[in-house]
Amino acid sequence: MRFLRLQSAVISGPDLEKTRESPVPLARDKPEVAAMTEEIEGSVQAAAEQSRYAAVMEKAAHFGLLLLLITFPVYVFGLLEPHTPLNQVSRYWALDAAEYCAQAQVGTGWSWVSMLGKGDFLNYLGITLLASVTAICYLAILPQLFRRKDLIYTVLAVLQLAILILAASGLLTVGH
Amino acid sequence: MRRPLKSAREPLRGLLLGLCLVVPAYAAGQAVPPTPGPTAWWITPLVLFVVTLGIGILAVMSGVGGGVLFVPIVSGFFPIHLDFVRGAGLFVALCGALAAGPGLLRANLASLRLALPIGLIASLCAIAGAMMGLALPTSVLQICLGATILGICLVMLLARKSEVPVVPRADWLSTALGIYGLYREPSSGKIVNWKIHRAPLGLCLFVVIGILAGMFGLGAGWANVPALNLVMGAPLKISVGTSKFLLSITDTSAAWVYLNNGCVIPLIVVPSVVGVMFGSLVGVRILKVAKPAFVRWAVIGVLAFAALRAISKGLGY
Repeated sequence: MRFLRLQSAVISGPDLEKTRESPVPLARDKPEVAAMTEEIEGSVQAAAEQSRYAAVMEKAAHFGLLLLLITFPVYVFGLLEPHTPLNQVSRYWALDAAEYCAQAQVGTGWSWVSMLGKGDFLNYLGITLLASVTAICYLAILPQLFRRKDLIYTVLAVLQLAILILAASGLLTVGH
Repeated sequence: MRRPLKSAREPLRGLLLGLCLVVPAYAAGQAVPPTPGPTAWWITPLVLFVVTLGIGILAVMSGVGGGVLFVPIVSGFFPIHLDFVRGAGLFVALCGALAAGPGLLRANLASLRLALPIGLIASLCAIAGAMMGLALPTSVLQICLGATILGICLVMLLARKSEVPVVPRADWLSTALGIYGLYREPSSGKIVNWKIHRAPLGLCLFVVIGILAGMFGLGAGWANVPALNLVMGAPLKISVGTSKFLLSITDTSAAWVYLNNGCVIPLIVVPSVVGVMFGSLVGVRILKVAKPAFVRWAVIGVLAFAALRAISKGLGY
């Protein structure tokens, strides 16, 4: 209903300011019109779940990038010994992924977790966090959608989470 | 007002010339299979960082996503297999979306209600695209990538934009999903009320967009914006903002597939992500001073050249 009332509204900001300053009593000075104007102003703001999504996204992305910026120097300056010596990486990146995994003895899926003590695999902490940000955001807004009884969007969010979990599971492995 | 425009042109021309000269020169040097030496490992990541810095600047200046420039240029001119380039390309696009997303959502210039249903379809198709991309022979992929990039050049040349498209009536699907909103146009202060139409057709388009994004590791902003703006009738500001945010959903799914299949090498991904992000920051600063039209044309030229290079590589020349 609110949308229907607002559907034809294209209100100029400066115009609003002018009418506020006008000494002549205007329609918008009436309580119901003022309330509607306030409602429109409020609708320009992001919805609660959208704001929450933004806040979580920002924090998680910043943390992921920070992790990358910390772990990468640890790797390239040799503070932690890498699984593949730095001067040999260029031998592998001309191969396709399947050959690279076979020749460099790198596992697929989540096998990197067991190799976190190696400088190169330590970078996967930041990389996987960045890849997980979207799922974390969906988890953060799910309770809000559920509480608001927004059934369609709750289902959409649950389905999206299921897809992301499937993609992240490591079950979808392919080779050339 | 003209002076800063002129003065900003010179470094930009230099940047473009640098990209056009350095990248092929580096590629020519790498034509011989690399022999690993004790000190040579850092050269490629360093060149990659410098090139991605330039890509980041050009991406902002031309309004093209970093991923779209990254994949054809790096796969065409670096001695890196397409699998790793696509893996890195997805992270480049993803990080750009993660950096821009919060601000766009807060300003209501990206709509979560519009992005959620589209993201669901696009991410599912991006997974399918990623799996197809990893299963296809590299030569076929190179040719398809070249053809897709040429298609992107055409879209960039021909696609029109509509600031606030006329949407006489919202369709049944967007009404059921409650996809509508208000935003304040920053330049005029006007509050614009928007809704969309042709949602079923738009969602079908995102099947193709998702597959292409996953298959080639491209951020799909080049296709998202016309689909949202011209087909579904979302205002241009909402289309651009939602498209950028949408990449964080679409590319995440495909990025996981590449990550789990060993296509992510930190020595390639980290310099690329950091390079493009720093480049974007520099690009935004330059954009405040000038937006020369030639940058967009030059980017189309670079993309077309990289596309032809991809096709020739695919054909074995």
